[in-house]
Amino acid sequence: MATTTTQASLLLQKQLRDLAKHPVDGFSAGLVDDSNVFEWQVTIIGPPDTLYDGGYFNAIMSFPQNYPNSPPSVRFTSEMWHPNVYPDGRVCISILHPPGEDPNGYELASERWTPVHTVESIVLSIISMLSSPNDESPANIEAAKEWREQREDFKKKVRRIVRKSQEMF
Amino acid sequence: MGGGDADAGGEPAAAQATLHIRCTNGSKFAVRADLGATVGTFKAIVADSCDVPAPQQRLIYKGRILKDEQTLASYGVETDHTIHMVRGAAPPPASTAPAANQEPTTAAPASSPAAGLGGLLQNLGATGAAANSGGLGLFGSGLPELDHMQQQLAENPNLMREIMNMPLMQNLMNSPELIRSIIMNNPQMRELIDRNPDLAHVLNDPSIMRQTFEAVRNPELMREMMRNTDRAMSNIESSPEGFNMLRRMYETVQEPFLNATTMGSEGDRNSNPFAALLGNQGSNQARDSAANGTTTASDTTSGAPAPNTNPLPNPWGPNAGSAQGAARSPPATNTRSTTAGGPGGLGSADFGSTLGASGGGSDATFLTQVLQNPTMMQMMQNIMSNPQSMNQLLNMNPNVRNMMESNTQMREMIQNPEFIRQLTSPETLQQLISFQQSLMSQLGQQQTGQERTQSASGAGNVNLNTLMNMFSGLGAGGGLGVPNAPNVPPEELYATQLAQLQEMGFFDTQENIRALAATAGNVHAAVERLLGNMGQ
Repeated sequence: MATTTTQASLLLQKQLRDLAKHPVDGFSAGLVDDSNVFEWQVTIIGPPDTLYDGGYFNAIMSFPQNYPNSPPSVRFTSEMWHPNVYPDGRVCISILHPPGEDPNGYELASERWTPVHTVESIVLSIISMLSSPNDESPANIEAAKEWREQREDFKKKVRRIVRKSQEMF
Repeated sequence: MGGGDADAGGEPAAAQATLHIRCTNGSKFAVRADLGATVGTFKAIVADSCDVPAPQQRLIYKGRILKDEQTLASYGVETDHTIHMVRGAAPPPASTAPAANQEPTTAAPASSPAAGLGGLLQNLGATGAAANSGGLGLFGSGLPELDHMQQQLAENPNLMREIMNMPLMQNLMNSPELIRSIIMNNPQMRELIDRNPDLAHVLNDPSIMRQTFEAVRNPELMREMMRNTDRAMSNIESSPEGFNMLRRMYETVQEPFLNATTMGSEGDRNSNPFAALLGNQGSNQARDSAANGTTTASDTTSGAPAPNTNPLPNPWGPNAGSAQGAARSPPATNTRSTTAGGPGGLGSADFGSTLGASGGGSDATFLTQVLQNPTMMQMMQNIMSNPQSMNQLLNMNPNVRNMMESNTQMREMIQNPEFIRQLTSPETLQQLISFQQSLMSQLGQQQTGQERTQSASGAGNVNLNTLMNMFSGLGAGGGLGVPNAPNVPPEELYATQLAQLQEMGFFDTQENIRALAATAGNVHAAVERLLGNMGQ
């Protein structure tokens, strides 16, 4: 257990340094508290040419002690309206699900978590999720229904949360 | 890049840090600023390096949005670190921000439909498996006897195929004299054949024997023949007096036939080299027709080498068959097998099949007893050790000589002493014994079928083996009680055979009489003759 903790801590610190020196477009990531390396704060910039363009959405990434053998959990602290984000802000995408066969049968085993993922690949997947919602297995049923049947209402809600995120500054 | 003139304090130049600013359009530049300055002041410095006014700047560092009233040091900003800057909403209307490059992503949410397809494919696979199991259950429940027979054949498929496909066995099939001489060694079988001349006619017909071995070699053909025989037996049983006729044939022909087959032969007669010759001569004296005369001449010709030739071919069966490899069946045989689809052809083929199986059993028993005889074993070893003597002995038999001439490889194989030694090894004998046991188990199954029929006491529901045996006795039964006087006209001489042909569907009486006269009263041969004429 100590070795695992040390390994996870070292890995996360290394990834943190890499992101600080070589940032990736679209998001910025750092620690919530410098004393805890397992809690990260991520600011995701709304991708251009999407409904979320212009928005700034904050999220918290909680890494497990046995990272990278298990996936972290991602939860939006900003208000978010998306079919694949639960009402409480938790993100539901395939790469954040534990390894093994999906009990519901919606995902392939190869789509789920693998230890090769990094903070960068996780956040990029979330940005891709914002661009392409998946309404087949929605986490927010209301949002999925609106996105599928009443696209205009969905757009209005997204524009509202974008303006709200801008007012945070 | 400017920014140097913004430094208005008394801070030394060496204390200033270099920070990198990354814009949403991908551009990147560096500015020098004091880490103790506030974010608001820092934004003014950044505004000098790009066209974004300070109020519209949104600075993000390590997942946090920088507030104007905080200092850079409080956010942990250090030299050579990068801060993201994006253009925010401004009170006055501004121009559209340039589009940023979208980084390629490693995951694709659109692949979830593929997962659904995977599940669908799994469901299709399960459906296929269920259909297969259902089909197997239907087949098993529908034909239990056929399934049991098929299992017995499947237990030794390679051994059966090797034995039937070897050239010596093919030559044996084309040689009725050898088969009849082997069967005549059994006293009860000889007695049975004397009482039923039609059985002798079946033995005289090489085509029936060839069809029999073809059916034994091919399980599919055997199964189809049995199915057609079952249908024919049902038709016979449903006609008036049909069941009584079947029972009469069974009591008169089939039961003594099985007893003769399973009864062991006497040892001293088998070891006597002249027993076969005497048996053949005794049997031939009972016939006075021209065909029988020709048969007598053939027996006399092959009678001389019979004592030494009969045991020789069989020990070479398994290895020789495997050495030769592929089967050699002439196309004419396949055509005849196709003809066997008809009821008449099926009768002759199935009768030959039963007789062939019984003959095989006798052959195995006879061979075992011959090999256990010390004198015969010593004689065989002396012959095998001398290649010239072996070659001379094989040339005395016309059939064997023809085979040797047509197949040089076979000749070299026989003249090889090491090969001969391999044939006489215990492994070969074990193979022959297992083959014999397989045949005996089939005969045992037939006996069980007979007992079941007797316990049924007239019930119409008889099993498949009993039906096959009864039908195979149909032709032989026709010869019962018919006097062999030459002065009797054909209509009266072949009255029973004519009735059988009528039942089979051949209604031309004159044509039937001609066919029966040409085949000496053999119903099966007459049916083949009639079918051949119709084919023309």
